[in-house]
Amino acid sequence: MEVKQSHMYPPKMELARAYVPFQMFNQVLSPQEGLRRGTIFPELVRPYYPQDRGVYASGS
Amino acid sequence: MDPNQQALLLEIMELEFTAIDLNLFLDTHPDEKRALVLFDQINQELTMAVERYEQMYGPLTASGQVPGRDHWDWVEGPWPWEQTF
Amino acid sequence: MWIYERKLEYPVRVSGPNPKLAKVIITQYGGPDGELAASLRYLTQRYSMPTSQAKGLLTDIGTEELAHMEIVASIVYNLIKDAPIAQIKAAGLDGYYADHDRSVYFVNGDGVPLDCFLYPIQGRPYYRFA
Repeated sequence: MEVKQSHMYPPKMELARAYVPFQMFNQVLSPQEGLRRGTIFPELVRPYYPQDRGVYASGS
Repeated sequence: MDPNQQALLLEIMELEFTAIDLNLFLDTHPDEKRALVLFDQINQELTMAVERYEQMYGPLTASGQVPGRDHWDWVEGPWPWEQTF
Repeated sequence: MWIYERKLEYPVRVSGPNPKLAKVIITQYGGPDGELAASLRYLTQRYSMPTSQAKGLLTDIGTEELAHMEIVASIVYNLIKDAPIAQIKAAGLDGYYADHDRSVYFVNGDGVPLDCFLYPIQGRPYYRFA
């Protein structure tokens, strides 16, 4: 089962440096869904769940 | 706000929000062809939706897309904080 | 700069007055992590950015934060505008009301106005292209 990667990690990461994985263009939501979710990129949809507070939940 | 105005405004919000998100994406991915193509498509639809809205409900920007007004209606009608959905 | 568009970026629906809720939401307007603070930060940080991408992103996001300001202000305005005075007092907004009546003001949830004292605008971002 192939997992589609939505981002790219920078090569040769160093200690004590902060990095942001580079987003890659994949799917977009419809304008209707996009406005509702606050983003047109499904990999950026991160709804807030109060019960997850304090848990290091990662996005999907 | 009448339901037709509301529906048109919502359509404009949806298209414009999509264009904004693509704009931000393209700021850091200037050669992503799929995003560029989609951006043009969305803006085309957006221009048409704005024109449809302005014909019936007045300008969305001070200059507006529909010329030939015989009355300056820019300040009239519900302002954004008075638009109930 | 500017073109103003006479519509909200995202629709607002407020079903009835709720000054208690307004008192908490207002920090998203005038508080340290609210939309006004964000737009001022980004629109001011952009001047000394080294790359066009950074200038572009800060400009585009900074101006979008102004649109967000308008959304939050619309929420607060509509939560307060028809609230009876008794409700405003019960919400602890009587001090606010004395100064601002039912208008919007740039304060945090405790009524402290926006403070720009510690904005992170250092002018020399460290960067290194790998």
